[in-house]
Amino acid sequence: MRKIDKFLAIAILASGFSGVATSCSSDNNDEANTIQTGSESLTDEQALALADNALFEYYHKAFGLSFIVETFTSKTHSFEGPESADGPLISRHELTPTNVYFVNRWYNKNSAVSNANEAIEKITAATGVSEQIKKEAIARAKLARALGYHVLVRLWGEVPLYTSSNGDTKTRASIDDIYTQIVKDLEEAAEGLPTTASLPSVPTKAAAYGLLSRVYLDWGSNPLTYDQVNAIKDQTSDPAPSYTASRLEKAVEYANKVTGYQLNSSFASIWGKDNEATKDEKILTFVHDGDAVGTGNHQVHCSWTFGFNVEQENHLSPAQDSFLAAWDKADTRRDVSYIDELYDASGDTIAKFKAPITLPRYGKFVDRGSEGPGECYKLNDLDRVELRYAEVLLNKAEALVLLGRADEAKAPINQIRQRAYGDNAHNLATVTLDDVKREWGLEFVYEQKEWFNLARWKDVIKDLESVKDNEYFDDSYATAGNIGKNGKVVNEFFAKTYKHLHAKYDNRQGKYYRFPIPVGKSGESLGITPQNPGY
Amino acid sequence: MVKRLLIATIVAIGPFVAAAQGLITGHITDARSGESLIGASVIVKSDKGLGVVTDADGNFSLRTKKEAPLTLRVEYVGYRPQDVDVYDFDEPIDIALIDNSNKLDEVVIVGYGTQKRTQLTGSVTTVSQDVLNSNVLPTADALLAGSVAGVQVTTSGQPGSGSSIRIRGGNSISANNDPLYVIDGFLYYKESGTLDTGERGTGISGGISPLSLINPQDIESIEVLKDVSATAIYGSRGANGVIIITTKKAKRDGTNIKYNYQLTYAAPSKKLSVLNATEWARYQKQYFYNKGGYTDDQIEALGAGTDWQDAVLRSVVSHSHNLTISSGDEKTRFLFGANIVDQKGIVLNTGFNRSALRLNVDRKLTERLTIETALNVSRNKQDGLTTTTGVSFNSSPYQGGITNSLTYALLMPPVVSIYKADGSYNYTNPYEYAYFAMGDIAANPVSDLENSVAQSIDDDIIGNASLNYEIIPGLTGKASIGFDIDNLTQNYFAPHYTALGLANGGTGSIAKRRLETWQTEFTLNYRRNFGKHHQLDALIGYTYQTSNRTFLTGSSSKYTDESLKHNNLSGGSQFAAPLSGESSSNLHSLIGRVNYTLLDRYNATATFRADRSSRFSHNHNWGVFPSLGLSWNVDQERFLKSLGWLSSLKLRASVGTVGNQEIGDYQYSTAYTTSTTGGNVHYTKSNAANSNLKWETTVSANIGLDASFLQDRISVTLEYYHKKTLDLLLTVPVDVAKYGVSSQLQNIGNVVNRGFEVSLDFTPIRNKQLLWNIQGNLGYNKNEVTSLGDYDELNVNSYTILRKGESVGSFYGLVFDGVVQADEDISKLPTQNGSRPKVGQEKFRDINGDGKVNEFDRVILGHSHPDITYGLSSSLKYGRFDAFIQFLGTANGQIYNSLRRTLESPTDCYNVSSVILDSWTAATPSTTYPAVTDVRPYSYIDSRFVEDSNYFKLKTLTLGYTIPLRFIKTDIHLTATATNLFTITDYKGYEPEIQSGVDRGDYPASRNFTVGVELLF
Repeated sequence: MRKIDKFLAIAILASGFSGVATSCSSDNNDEANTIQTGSESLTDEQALALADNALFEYYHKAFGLSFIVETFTSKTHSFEGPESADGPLISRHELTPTNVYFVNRWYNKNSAVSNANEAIEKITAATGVSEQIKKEAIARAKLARALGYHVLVRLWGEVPLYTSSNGDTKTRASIDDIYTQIVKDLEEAAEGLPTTASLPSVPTKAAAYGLLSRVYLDWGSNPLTYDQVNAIKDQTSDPAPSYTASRLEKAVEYANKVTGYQLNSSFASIWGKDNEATKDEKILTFVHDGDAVGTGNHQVHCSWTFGFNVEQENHLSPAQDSFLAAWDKADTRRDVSYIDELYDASGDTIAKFKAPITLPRYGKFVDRGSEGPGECYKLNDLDRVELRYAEVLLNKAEALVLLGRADEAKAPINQIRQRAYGDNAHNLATVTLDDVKREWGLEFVYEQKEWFNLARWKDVIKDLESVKDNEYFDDSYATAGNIGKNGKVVNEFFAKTYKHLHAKYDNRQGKYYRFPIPVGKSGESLGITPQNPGY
Repeated sequence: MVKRLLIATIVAIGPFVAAAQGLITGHITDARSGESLIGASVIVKSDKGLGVVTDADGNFSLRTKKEAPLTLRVEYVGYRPQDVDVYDFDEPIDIALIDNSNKLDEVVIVGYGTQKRTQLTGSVTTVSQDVLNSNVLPTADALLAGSVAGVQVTTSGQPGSGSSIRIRGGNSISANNDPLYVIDGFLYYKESGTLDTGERGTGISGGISPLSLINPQDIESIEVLKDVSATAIYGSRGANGVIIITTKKAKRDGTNIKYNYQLTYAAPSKKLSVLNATEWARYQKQYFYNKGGYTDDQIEALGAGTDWQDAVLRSVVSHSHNLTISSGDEKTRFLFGANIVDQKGIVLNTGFNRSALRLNVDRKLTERLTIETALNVSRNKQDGLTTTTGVSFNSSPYQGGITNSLTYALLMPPVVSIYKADGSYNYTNPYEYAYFAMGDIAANPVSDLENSVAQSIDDDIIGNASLNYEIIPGLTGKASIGFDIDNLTQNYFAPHYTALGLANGGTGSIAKRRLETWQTEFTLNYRRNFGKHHQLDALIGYTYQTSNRTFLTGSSSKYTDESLKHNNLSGGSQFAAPLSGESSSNLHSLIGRVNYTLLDRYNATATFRADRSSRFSHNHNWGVFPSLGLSWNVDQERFLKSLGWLSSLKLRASVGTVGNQEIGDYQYSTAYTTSTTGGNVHYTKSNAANSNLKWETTVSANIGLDASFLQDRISVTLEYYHKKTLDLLLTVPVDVAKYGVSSQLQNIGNVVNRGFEVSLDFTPIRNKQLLWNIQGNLGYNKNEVTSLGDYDELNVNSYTILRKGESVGSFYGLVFDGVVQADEDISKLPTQNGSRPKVGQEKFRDINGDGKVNEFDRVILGHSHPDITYGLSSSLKYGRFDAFIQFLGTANGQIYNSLRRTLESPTDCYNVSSVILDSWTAATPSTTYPAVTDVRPYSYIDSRFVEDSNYFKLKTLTLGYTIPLRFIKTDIHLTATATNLFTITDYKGYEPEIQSGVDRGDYPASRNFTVGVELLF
């Protein structure tokens, strides 16, 4: 502790619920209280801890991302709190810079960037660290910085690129410059990271390669620039997609570099507390110990907020059930991804999450291996899966299709389908981009991919338009107490569902290809100009 | 010698007896100090010419031919004449004379010394002896409420909890605004907050008062230093005002024993009106899902159902014992005090108790050398409420308005019973959602209160010792050492069937904090008169104070056996990482002060303090705080001496700077919090280094007038002050990408407090039989943020804002504009969340006129601290009968009544306020209460729930009677006291004294009735 303390240059102070350590100093002494970057001596453990601080910041509050990339689509709504609360506002596509989910995500990712910069500088300058650990620790920090910037650039477009403690934090960098930096960080990370690790929570070369495939697929799909978004900000149609082949080829190349991993034998075995340390498919995970110690995974909590209480409105839920009804019954992913009916051990129904009372729940993060109904949704200690092998396969498949090499895409996509159906009968003979998109939707329900994918595909507005075909878009659901199109009395839940679906539809605009630059945590302007178009 | 005007007390010690027709002997002393009075005259009133004067020891002997009873007249220059009835001549008579000087001649305690009020240039208010003598509350905070102009005291109803005390408004925004306490010369500061005993979102409500260690009956005097001439001697710790507490010493008149016992009956002073079972079931059926499935007949048969509020509130009886033994002679004095308080709270299973011992000893070692010591040992134990805390995730019960078991009881459906048929607790509540229900167990607030542990135990030893040496006449050196060693233990346990234990299968913690402070002081004081016209009082000194704070917390959860509660943390199956830490701070100070008086008329006080604090970085850790005060005793001028009705008149003015360093340790340096995930420790930056962090400085000016009239029957003090706090220690946003944190403590912005104070002291009747005194005070303070650096506003949240030009603690929200009525043109109404409000729905004002109501339509709705505070008291002594009454109040302040907002928000799972019955319906179209719906349009507040906090309260009413028991030479003083007897207020919550300004269900105030008996030996 004292060593860490000395290195971190400071008094480590006690505050917060999550735990604290404190150094003591009987008097102030600036020499001991100024960050020294020139000749500090670190141990190997300290260097790795510094790097992990950046990773920790990246994932610690990552759950809030669901409110953006799940809720800001046709698939999911948020009834968290009053209608003026920030979750429902995103759900209705009414966005302001003060929305706490944007404020916190901005803070969270930039904090990861700051920690990464600090770690890289200090570890680089430090003595006492073995060369191998120095390399690995810096690699971890760079991976954390890349992860942070990849979220930032996708949500807000041109953001300030800050890679040293003396940089410019206000001037917005170009999309290409940001992606160039992300790629550079990940490639350098890949060099420094170990080939294997005992736990999926320890970054490896495969994690860097897998993330490179993700990043190149995005970059290769030509993210919209500020000017492009500005040009369509009021339009109700999507821009035409375009691609950069060389980057897509890189996506394929790096996907191929991910070796040593395979899909789990069954889709269900990916999830649950008992499976979280299993490494087969999981390339990179982040450890959550639960709310009790302050690092809860709210992907768990927000999808299963009120457990078996069918009448209470969850924080995040599917916004419709028609796509669920159309799901192939043979697809084993369905009953893992959604819960619409629960049975007890004797086969009696415990709860039905169905109309006319409610809609299904997301099911991946409900710990079905837990001891009882009371515990399966409260502990929030399921680890977050950042990257699994199935994503690498789909990254590759999508890039191949876009490159015109659809034939080669069959193998990766069919690996996924074979696992999903348990046989080869559902393998695709040919693969189109729509096939790949559909597979993303089936495989990665509620895994924080939805809006990122739509933006990459330039389908954001198309997706919102699709809600008009939804059952609950019908005006018969507008008012609680009326008889709905399904012949049942409309309750307040479905009246609210109707409202959200219409709001999503009415608010479909080109500006929603990115989000407003948020205010700071004290409501102040961050001074980053210009604001994104339309806000 | 410290002399003081004892306004309402005539102290006559012992029965006045002498031998019939013969020799009367006795001893005459100063009533306050116990010093013998030499040369006092004693005459027999009915026997003119017969009289003697006291000798060098204050004794007299007087032979008379008259028979008892007779009356002696005792007179002495500077003292009030006193008539003493003598019934027989068997025993010597002890007579204590009261200082007869006018108020300006009083000697008051100031920082590092004493000063005659005539020579004072600063604003120093002494709490009335009536208040000290009439107090029946167990902590000293209460003594200040309503007693001193410009001092706002917001008390808590929770036994043992601290009060919020603000002297002339709050200067700071991010630093602490509590005044500095100086207890027998020891600079005392302790945070009242609780430790992080609970797991996330849980903990112990309130906190034990920093002043709980002092038995109020041990207090001799309380001086409140308000302006900069008085506080500058405390430099960096003086900006929030200083409260000097001096404990009692023995008198030099032999041995005195005093014992008193008090029995207090306390009952809730108010209940909130919520629905009964029939009303609630009917409302559920009408507006929600009728989960209970009740038929109309069944609903009518439900009747009142369970009154949960009644079940968790109670009437209680408390006791206190106090024993003081004091003895003194010319060389040695000692005072021993023992105090036991057992105070029950009006909420189940809450209370406070204290066991305290005090020993104050002083002795003249030689003619020039004196030693003084004071030692106080106390154990203070508080049983409080388990509570959720203000976490922001939306599934928190806190977000649902539940802050503790008390508020939860208010929300419990009245159709749910407390007990099952077999008498055991009922843990079935089909209405509760996931907040406080898990599996087949739903929390039961009565069980929660009975079975949860939220206990704070504070063991404190505070003491000091000083040596005074008169080096040459007038020059005195003093060396002192003082300490405060405080050990706080907090025990927390929530079994698996309680609200806070549900999620973790039962959870428990023990947190320990040790706070150790040492102080050394070396001063030289020189007092001398130069000729008849020049008086000099100079002080220089060096002081050093160091504090060390350590803590340790252990927590576990999910127990197989909960019977031992927190005493068996190892019985848990899940363990949070233990928390520990340490921090230190120190303060080196040089002090200096010169008081100069010319012609008994013109006074000047120059004060200087230089502090070096470890809380600031190397370049900024020295702070220099000078002040200058001037005063003019105008009444001493020839042109006023002829005015017989004017007893005294004095004008004062002061200017100077003081500082504030209460920001915690290491704020100028980088700090990290740690957490453990998957067995690995992670460090999260919680503070970014700011090597420019420096003192927050308050520049202050004060002008005052002290006057008394008609032989001091009327005294008036007027004050005007202007304080500007510069270089605010303010937490401001910073760029997270650069600093790694979103905010940092910096010196940015200014806050101004300005106001005036009026104090009045009126003695309508003062004669041998009857003494009647009236005191009143009023303070007006205007608080304004005049600068936030580059910002116009900061810290905007769902109910408050910090905005330039407004007061700190401003409430911010929408303006409620009534309920949409059937005949309104809805198309002209502004939209709310994208829709036009419907008939029966509440509507809000579109302030900016853009056709929609949103966050940009919020306005300032008030502020939490009242502009006006006032107090009014009166004492009366008639023969053996005495009485005291004290009122207090505030005006022009607001409270955000969050609890009312929760109770008036319809839900299908919780009970609601009775006003729901007045909700809008087509048949009864209310304009105040909208139609019942569980959809709440906005998360931020609106004007309905920002209420005036104005109140007028009868704080204390005491009636006393003294019975002399001659056969055992004892007086018995019997008292009956009512506290908090009534409150006149429009505030709709339990109690308008809400420390935070936000009422989330604070511990309610009780109405107390106390009977006491005091024996004087």
